[in-house]
Amino acid sequence: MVEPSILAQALINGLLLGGIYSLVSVGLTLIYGVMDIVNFAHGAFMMLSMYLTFWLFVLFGVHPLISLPIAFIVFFAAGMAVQRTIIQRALEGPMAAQMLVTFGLLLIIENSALFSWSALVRTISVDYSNLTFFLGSISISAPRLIAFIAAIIASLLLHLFLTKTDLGLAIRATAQNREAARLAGINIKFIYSIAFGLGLGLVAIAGNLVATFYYITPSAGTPFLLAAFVVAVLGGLGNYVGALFGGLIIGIVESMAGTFLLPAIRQLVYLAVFYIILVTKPEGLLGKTFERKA
Amino acid sequence: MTLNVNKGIYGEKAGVSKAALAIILVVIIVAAGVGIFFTLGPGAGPEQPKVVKIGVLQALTGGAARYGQVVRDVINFIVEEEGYDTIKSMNAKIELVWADTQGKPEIARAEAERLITQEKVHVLFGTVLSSTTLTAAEVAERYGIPFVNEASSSPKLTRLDRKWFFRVGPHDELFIKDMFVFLKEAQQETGTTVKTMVIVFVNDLFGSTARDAIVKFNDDPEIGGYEVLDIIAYPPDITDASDIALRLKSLDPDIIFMASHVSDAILIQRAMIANNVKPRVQMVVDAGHTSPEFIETIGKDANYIISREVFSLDLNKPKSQEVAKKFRERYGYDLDGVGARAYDAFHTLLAALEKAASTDPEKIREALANIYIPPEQLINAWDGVQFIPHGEFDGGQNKLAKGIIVQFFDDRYYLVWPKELAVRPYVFPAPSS
Repeated sequence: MVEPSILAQALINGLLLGGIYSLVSVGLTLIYGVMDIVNFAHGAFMMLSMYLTFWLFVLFGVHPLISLPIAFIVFFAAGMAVQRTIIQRALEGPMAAQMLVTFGLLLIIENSALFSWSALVRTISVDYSNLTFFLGSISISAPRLIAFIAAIIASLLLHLFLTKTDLGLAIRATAQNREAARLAGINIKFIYSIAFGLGLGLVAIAGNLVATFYYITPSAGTPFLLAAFVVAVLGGLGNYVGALFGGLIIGIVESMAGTFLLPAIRQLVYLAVFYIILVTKPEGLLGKTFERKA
Repeated sequence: MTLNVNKGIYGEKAGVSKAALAIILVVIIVAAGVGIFFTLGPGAGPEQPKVVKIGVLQALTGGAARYGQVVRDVINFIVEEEGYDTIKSMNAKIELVWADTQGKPEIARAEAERLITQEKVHVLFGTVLSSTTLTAAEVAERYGIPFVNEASSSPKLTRLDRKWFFRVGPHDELFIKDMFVFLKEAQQETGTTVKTMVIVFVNDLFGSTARDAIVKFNDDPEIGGYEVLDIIAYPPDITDASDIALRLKSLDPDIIFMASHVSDAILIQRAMIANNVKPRVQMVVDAGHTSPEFIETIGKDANYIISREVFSLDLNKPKSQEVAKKFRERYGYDLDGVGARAYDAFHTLLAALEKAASTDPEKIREALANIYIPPEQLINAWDGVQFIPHGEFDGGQNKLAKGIIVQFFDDRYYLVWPKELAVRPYVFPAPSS
């Protein structure tokens, strides 16, 4: 017999975890939707953001919530630079180069991080790191709640940006039909760099947020990347609204499987979901928001 | 006088050639003689190499890279800070050849093969993780290369009848038996009773062998007999541990027995705090729970956790104190159980090489098999280093290695058991508030 309080607790835990998955996936799927490129280095950039947050905190005492916009701006700029100097060149090359360029980036970033900061596990302990709120018998971890709220706000702001601004419209137009967008006078390369910058900016926010309750190592982004792939496919690759809901669903599935089946198979369960979706509905639950015309 | 061969129009020239030939022959013979003298001369024969190559297998990347880093720091400390860079009996410099196992058994196997066949190492050292030691030691066995292990704790490693494998640190059964003995003693002394238990372990060779040992000793009516409510396995790279914490909360056992690495230990403990799980007795199989990172992150919330250990800064041994102090000065963090085992194991290897006075694998093996290192030369609280002969049960295991029990109070783990070494009394069970 499942206790209602444990069920509710598992649901809340899954939802809080899912918020982070959503944020990581939204960036991944945005880049894919606009540029048709899978960013294997997404988790590595998330890890870099964790380190940025860590060092700002340790060296200069900058609170993670203060360094959140800094992380976004730094990674947005870095994303634009990386897109222009590396990704764009690969996009003009053969298919294999497009596939491997971000994988190469992942290896370079992870190994550079290892060389620079070693493999020591680091954590950030802020005043609320181990703080817990109680709603009756249900407990809610403060850093996870803050991360969840921030992740949802960031996703909503992205939605507003893409739907209510000219630049957002241009990004969506590019994702929908590259050639038509070009003919309409949209600078495709500029849109690409904005999209890549935004993708990294979003994952940097995720990295900053988890740094207050997760551990930081050069490979800390990898498990999130795996989950983000599953989420992105679940929501429909390229569909950022799908990624938002997909993240929450995977978070809840993982939490429920771990709590009521076995913690050892929690990843197995969501990977099974991943494969079932790939086989039965490859376009994802919500399909692609940006119907590609050409 | 010239030889009268091919005499003709070139006759005179042929005569000169013979003389030149003779001179060249003499020169070649003299040069060869000098060469042979220097090649086979004292201190340079095949038995007297200029370098001893030690292949060090460690996880330098991946989730377990933190252990590799600690071992690397310890070995560099011994070679650079303590100056053990030469094997005097061979007048040979030590050359360390590092290989990254990435914490993966298949890579450890391939790297061991590379170190032996391509790098031509004379001996192997490593790998902390039991799963990677298992596969790497299998390669060493096949090629007949001695393998010295510092801190892999799976008992299986010395139960495979591998004659080239030597483990300096204690294994899980030695550790875990001590923990059950402690549990029994603590109940008798405090007049409390604990009945139920949940085992939580990381699903790799380290975790699963720890679980096996816990189950085995719990089945021993003398020291065990607790009701096991659940056995929870979890994968090494988890992003969230709330589900584990929730299961613990709903089962509410008296004892939580855990075997975790660093990152997962932090994640689970934080999830336990977030989900308001307050164990009466939390027993941990050192590793992650005793790492400096865990202590720094969890702080006072780790209070009353009881762990097996091999090393403690409390050990009242001048050598331990001195090494720990110098190590901290150089690397900025405290020597832990993994580092301390690596320290004693590497010194054991150096002593064996010194004794073998040869890079011949069989001679190194023999030196290891017959070595005895007295306790005062070690930094761990062991009775020395002496291996069980191969062919016997647990052959290759250091029979003088043993564990201690520590408990966390406020800022660090304190030695609480055995009593003769304790620096403060243990608290059992943990206070409820």
